[in-house]
Order: sequence, then C-alpha cells, then structure tokens
Amino acid sequence: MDILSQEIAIIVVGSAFLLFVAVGMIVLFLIYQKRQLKFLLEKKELSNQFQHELLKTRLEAQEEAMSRLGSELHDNIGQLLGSAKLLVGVAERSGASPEQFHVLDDTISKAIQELRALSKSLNTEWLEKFNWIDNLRTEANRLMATKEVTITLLHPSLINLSLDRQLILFRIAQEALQNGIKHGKASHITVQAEQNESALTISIADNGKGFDVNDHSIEGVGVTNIRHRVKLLGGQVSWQSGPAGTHLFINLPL
Amino acid sequence: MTTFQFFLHNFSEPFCYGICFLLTLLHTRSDKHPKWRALVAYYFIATLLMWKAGYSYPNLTLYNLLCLLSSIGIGTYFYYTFISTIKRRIVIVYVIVQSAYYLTDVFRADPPKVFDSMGFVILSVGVVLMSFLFMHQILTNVTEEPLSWNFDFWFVSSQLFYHLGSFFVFLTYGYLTRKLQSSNDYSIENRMYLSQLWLGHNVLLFLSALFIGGSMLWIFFRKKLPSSL
Repeated sequence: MDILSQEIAIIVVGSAFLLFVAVGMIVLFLIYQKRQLKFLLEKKELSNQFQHELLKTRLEAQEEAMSRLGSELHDNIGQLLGSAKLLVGVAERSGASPEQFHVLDDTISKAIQELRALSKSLNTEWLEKFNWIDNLRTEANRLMATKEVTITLLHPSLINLSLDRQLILFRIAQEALQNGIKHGKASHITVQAEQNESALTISIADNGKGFDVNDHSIEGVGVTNIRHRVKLLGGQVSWQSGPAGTHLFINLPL
Repeated sequence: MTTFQFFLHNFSEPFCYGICFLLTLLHTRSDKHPKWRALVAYYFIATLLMWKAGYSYPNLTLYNLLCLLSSIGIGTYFYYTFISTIKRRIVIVYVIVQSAYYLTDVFRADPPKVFDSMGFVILSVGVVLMSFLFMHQILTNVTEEPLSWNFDFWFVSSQLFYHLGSFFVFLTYGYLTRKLQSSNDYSIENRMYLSQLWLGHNVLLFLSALFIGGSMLWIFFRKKLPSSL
C-alpha cells in the first residue's frame, strides 16, 4: 500500500499544480481582457472626440463663412449697387451719356459677378470638396491682404488625408498662423508640408518674438487647441521657440 | 462509515450534477439559447445516471455512458457558442472521436472491469481544448461588456477548472485500480483508500458547481448596481 499511497500523493500534487494553472489562467485572462476593454473604450472615446471636434470645426468654418459673407455683402456688393443707384439717379436728373451707361453697365456686371462668386462660396457642398492646400492658400492671401505679413507656402500637389482630417488640419494651421501674427507679431511665416508613404509632416515657422515653450502657465487656448486637435488626428506636435521666432512641427500618420 | 461519508462517496456526484442542472435551468429563464437547453438536458440525465450509479454495482457502464453524454452535452454547448466554422468543426470532430471510442467500448465482449481512464482523458483533453478555443474567441471579439458579466466565461472557466484539475485522477484511476486488483491485498480498507482519490475528484466537481452558482450571483448583483463596471 505504500507504493499506492506514494502514487496517490504524486497525483494529488500534479492535480493541485494543474488546478493552480487553471485558476492562474482564468485570473490572467480576466486581467488581460480588462486591459483590452480599457484600450477599446479609450479608442472609442477618442473616436467620439474626433467626431465632436469635426462637428465643432465644421460649425466654426460655417460661422466664419457667414461672417465673411456679411462683410462681402456690405463692403463690396453693397458699394457696387450703391454706385449703380447713384449713376441711375444722375442719369434720371440730367440725361445720361453713353459713357455713363457704359459705367453703369460695368458696375452692375461687377456686382452680378461678385454675387455669383459669393453664391459659389455659399454652396453647401464646399465641405465635401474641402481641400487643405486650396483653403490654406486662400487663408494666406486673406492674411497677406492686410500688408502686415507675408506667407510662403511649400507643399506637395496633393495631401493624402481624408476630407474630415484635412478640415481639422486646416484649423490647426489657421490657429498657428493667427498665433504667429497676433501674439508673435511675425512679419513672415513659412508653412511647409512634406509627406511620404507613412507620414505627413507640417512645419510652420515665423520670425516673431517667440514664447517660452516650457512655461505652461502662458499657454493660451490656441496652443491647447492645437495639441488637442493633433492628438485627435493621432499625431504628434512640438514647438521650438526663441527670440528669432517660433517653429511648430506636426507629424501625422497616414 | 458514517452517513455523511456514505453520502460523500455515493451521492456527492448526483448532488453536484443536480446543482448544475438547477443553475442552468435558472439561467434559461433569462437566456433561452439552445445551448443552455442542451446543458439543462445533459445535467438532468447526468444527475439521474449518477444517482443510479450510487446504488448500482458494478457501475462502470454508467460512468462510461456519463462520459459519452458529457462529450455530447458540453460539445453541443461549445458548438453553439463558437462563431468560427473551424472551431465548430473541431467540436464535431471531437464528439465523433469520443463517440467512436465509446462504441468500440460497448461492442467489447466483456463488460468493463476497471474505470475507463482513456475515455475520461479524451473528455478532459477535449473540454480543455475547447475552453482554450473559447478564450481565443473572447480575445478576438472584445465587447464593451466586462468579461466578469459574461456567464459563458464563468461556465467555461468552471469546466476548465474541473477538467484540468481532474486530469491526473482520470488518467491514473484505472491503472491504480488494476494495480490494486492484481495485488494480494484487495481488501475493503484498501479500496476505500483508493476511493479517497475519487472523493478528491468529487470535491472538484462540487467546486465547479459552486463556481457556476457563485458567478450567477455575482452577475446578478453586479448588474443590479447601476454604477458598477
């Protein structure tokens, strides 16, 4: 019986070991799945934030377009129609010459042309046809019209990003340009975009007065917005700044 | 032998299968999936078989029948649980192998004289393999619901716990019985000594039933707390 008891002891030890393995595996599995679930929820949260940010960005862009429309109507078309009305008044009172009619015709034609351009810009499909490069060029021209800043754009012919991501990237570039002009008092800004198969790199350099990148207390809403938006795009952002200006680097995975 | 010891040796198995039967029956009130119905039927027949085995001697045929029934019952459960066709085919192959082994055993001329270790080892290996396949399925299909709320996970864990823990008992019980029978000391006392090993297996069966019951209570109370995750 001694031999049998020895064998039974070995079986008990072996079974205890397998039990330990079984319990350990169940516990490890629970922990692993919990981590995986946490990762999944974080991913979902990030996706929700992305959608929220996209909606916000679209609304901001529409609001900006409406504001620009108001200015255009008042400053441009309103002025042209005012001139036309004046010319009609003059013609009514003193009889118009062929030249005056020609000027009147030109003024009304210009007003119509401006209206058409505005109507085109109001087209709701513009968001679906959004192009980062074209919009950045328009924004640069708008800023350069103030004669206070010159902007150089260096970019590939096409950006390999989805329209939604291009829209968010445009807001990032817009924010950076405004920061350079408003806070950095920059007179020249260079925006450079480079892409390869796996990443898109954006660099925005200005010759402004710079800021202390390590001092988070002076970090404004603009910088926070850029950080947040780059994170939503799954990229990385960094700043280098000194008395000679500020350099912003953005790296986005493609 | 006291009444309690008599109960432990002869009726702890139908008691454990009976608990599992009641628990799965209770679960079918909220989840009417065919896999749970299959388990209810399996546990019900297993309870009756083990009840009969408690009174009968020899009862080895009843145990062999339980082995076949377990492979079909648990196999049906896994078949319905698996999403992948390959995993389902593995279950079918396993049940065919187990059934084929049982049939060769049935058509043997002599009735079984010792515990059929091989049949139960095939059962244990099959269930452990299917449990791993289930875990793989969970890892590749992560849902937002915490795993601790998943009754399937706890049920499969209880099977893994029982079959992995009993593996060595199944593997050696037939061999030890044969060894004891061939020795000159095949007394009641020595047979009782060997049956202690089977009692250890019964404890594991009881713990796996508790595992299922505990997890049911856990899920029930966790789901009642709105803020718990």
